[in-house]
Amino acid sequence: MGDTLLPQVIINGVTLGTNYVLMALGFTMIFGVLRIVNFAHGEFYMLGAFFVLTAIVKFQVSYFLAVVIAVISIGLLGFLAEEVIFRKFRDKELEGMIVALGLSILMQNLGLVAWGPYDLSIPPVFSGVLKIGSMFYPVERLMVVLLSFLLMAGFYLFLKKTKLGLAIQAIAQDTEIARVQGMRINRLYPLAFAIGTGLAAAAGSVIGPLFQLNPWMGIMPQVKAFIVVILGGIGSVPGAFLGGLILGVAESFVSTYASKAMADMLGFIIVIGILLFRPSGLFGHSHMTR
Amino acid sequence: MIPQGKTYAILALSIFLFFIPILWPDEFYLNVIISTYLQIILAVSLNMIIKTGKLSIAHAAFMGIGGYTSALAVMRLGLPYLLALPLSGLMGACIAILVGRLLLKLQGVYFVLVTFAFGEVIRLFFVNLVEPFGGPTGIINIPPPKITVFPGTTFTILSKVSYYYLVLLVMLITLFLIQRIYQSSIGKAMDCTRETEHLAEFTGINTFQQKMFAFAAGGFFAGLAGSLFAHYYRYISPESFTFWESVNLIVINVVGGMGGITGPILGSIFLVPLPEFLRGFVEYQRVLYGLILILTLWFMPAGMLGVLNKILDWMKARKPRKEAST
Repeated sequence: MGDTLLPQVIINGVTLGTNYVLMALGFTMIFGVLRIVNFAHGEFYMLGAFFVLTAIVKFQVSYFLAVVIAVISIGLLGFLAEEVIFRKFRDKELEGMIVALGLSILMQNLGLVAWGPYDLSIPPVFSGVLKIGSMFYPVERLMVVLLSFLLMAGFYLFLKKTKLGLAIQAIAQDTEIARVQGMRINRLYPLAFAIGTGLAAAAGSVIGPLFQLNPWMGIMPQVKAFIVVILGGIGSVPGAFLGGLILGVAESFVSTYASKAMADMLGFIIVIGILLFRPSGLFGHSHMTR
Repeated sequence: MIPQGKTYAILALSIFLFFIPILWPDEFYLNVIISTYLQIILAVSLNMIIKTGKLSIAHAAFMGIGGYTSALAVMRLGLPYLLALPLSGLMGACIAILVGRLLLKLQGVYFVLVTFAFGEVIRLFFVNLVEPFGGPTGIINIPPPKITVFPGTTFTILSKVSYYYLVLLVMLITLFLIQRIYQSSIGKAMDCTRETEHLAEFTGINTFQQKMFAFAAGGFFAGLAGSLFAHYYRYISPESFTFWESVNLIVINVVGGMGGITGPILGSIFLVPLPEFLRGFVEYQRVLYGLILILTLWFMPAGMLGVLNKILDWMKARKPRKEAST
């Protein structure tokens, strides 16, 4: 028994961790580029899952097509949100954040109007159980991890290899210099926001089949994204990646060997510990304290 | 310095508030007014923290700390309410001082994110500890406040009217104290801390101390409000003190205007009764709430107070100069 429990715990932790990473990546990039603490990030995640559900149930499309539709349409929504709502609050961190809070309230309750308060679920996409040695693993979960890693790899390549990705990194490092280099901020800001929210939607639509869908489903992933981002340093992409995996695995360990309640508290305790000893995050070099 | 005329007007208004239950003894409206008063205590005490340049999303957590302290003090320890009320405020202040040492060193959005995390820790504490906090179901059957004025004469504050007076009294004292702080040199130092922190330090202001003071005092008044809340509704659960309650307080401050105590008062008077008038559109209430928040920041960044001031200025400009100078 003892030797099958440990790998199971690790795999569960990685599954959990990939969820957190996907959420945190978009969130941290939006902060890095636009300096907006996107309190509505969880709501874009929620919309992602619901768009997939609606596309499958109402329009009878396949799951993969539904995911593509959801990510693209929510990316567009994010683009519009930046163009219309956040544009006025550039360089105003606090106001931008409060506006994001307003957007979060708005989206959550529009979601409530559109889909109602009851739990819904996406019809199962994959079935079956994979048996490796003496260990069982549901194919559904494996696909979530696989798709998540694909998305992460795609995002990484996008940042490192494409012109747009490099431009986004440049802006995150120094907006003024990027502007001097001839980068069109007015075009790049909404694009970065669109990519960030698109990632949140991707997270929601990939993980959606595993969970119940309701208008408040985005809150917890967002809380986790906050923790991951504080853990990894806000604005740091590798920080979000490692932070997410560490949090996921740690939570899995604690909930197996201690209790679920302890696992819920764990993230916050880590955050407080980090604040005490490493105020700029584990991997961050951003200036958390003056 | 408040001009004399304005002082009298505020005094008259405060006295008028004491007559509301006599002039208008409708239970439903009294309930709305009591919730508004509670929200005013919370929003104005949050305003004091905002005044030092810190946006806290943990304010509802301090309210929760006060609520649980008060309920447990009365129900488990058998303390009289007149002791439990200040105790809940002190508990809020003590915890604010403890965590403030850590949190208030953080800058800008980090502070916001971490107060958010702190608020969640407190809520999870209440959820996970069934003993003594009652876990997710919270604490029920909280007794109404019993107030002993002289030994032998004990009032039980059970009716809406008597509760109205209790809340009104605490609110007026809170507003009076916070206004006095704002007008004192501490208030000026807080303004300076928010606007130009470096300069404030050069002029000898200990900005960290200013923030600690505001945070602790904010925790104190939020604790008081929590106690009043617990004994009024006679039931508390972790769901009463979520992140969204804290967000509501920020919305009230933004929509009312963050400059002084008038803004959050206006914001509470406008936003707290709003759902009561939108009973027919329950689903759209919160949608409207989010919309109001975004539109306020967009079109009137100084809030309702800013608009009011503009109207007053405009009216003054129309009058002859002689009157305007008085």
